[in-house]
Amino acid sequence: MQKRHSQGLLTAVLAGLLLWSAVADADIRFNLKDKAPPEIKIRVGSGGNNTSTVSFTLDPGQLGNGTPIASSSGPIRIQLEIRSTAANPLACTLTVDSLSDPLKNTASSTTIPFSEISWTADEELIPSGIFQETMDQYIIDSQSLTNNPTFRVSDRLTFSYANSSMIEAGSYEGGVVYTWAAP
Amino acid sequence: MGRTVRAGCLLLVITLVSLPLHAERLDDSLSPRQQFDIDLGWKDQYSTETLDTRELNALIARAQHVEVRLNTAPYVGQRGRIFISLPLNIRGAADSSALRMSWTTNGLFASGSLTAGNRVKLFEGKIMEPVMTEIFDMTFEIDARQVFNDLRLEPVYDIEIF
Repeated sequence: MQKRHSQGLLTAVLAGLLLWSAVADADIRFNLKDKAPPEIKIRVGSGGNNTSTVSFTLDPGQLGNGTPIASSSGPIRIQLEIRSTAANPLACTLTVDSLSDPLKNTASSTTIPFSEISWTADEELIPSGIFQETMDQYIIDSQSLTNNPTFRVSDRLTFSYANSSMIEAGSYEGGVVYTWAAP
Repeated sequence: MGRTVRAGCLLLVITLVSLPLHAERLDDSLSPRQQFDIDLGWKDQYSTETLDTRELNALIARAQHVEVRLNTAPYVGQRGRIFISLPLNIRGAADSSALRMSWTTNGLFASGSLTAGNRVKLFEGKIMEPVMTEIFDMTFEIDARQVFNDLRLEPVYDIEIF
């Protein structure tokens, strides 16, 4: 008798659970896609269409004496940004092209290799380094920076001229291009 | 067997407390549209440089003119409170507390907002009609870091008679 009562109670419990389960289904459902439009952004210096300038000024007596010269124009801020969802994270890589637009004497064809220029990062979020005179020098990738699918990092780079060899006097101009790209 | 029965009773108690006392589920199956497939977008799309981490991760989705018809026929002539709630766990979200649903209405029900696992009052008063109809403009906000799959939300409506 006791056993039968227990079974009856259990049956009642299960019936209650099934009934609850049946009425717990909602009818109106909102399905939100897990893909937001992915966004990547890079800002170098003042950003926009502006080209940031880094200047080095050497007295004739300093030329090629091996003492590095800090830029006279202050550090340049580089800011990287990714926006994606955890379901569809983006992998981005920061590269720099220091080959395509070499430092060229404005009065002659003499050039200074970009490998004479290095940088130091304030916070080492973007690693300090030296230009390698390639078109796609790897600097850092998003996975090395964070596991978050959405983030923004910013660091300030101070550039230095190695001044390791004698060069023709004059004004030299060239450019590097940073690229922040997802495959 | 005695142990099995005790386990069953415990399960029953847990099930019963998942609905507030005296609340009864309202049927919304009379609503003309049952499925809304909507896209997520970034809440702040421009000038992202000034955004803090929370704002940078903020996603938003909207469903407008959502007509909800609730079967209130059994309660006509009685005074009641109607609530809307969201389940504690939202499918697709790692942390459901990162999701917020807000809405505006045409005035029969109150506008408001809600997070997962919570319940908000939409209406209090005498039930006059066998079917109560309201048009909602829904807004969903969630942190991009918590979106691990397509999200599925099913608001639940219930009524308390007093």
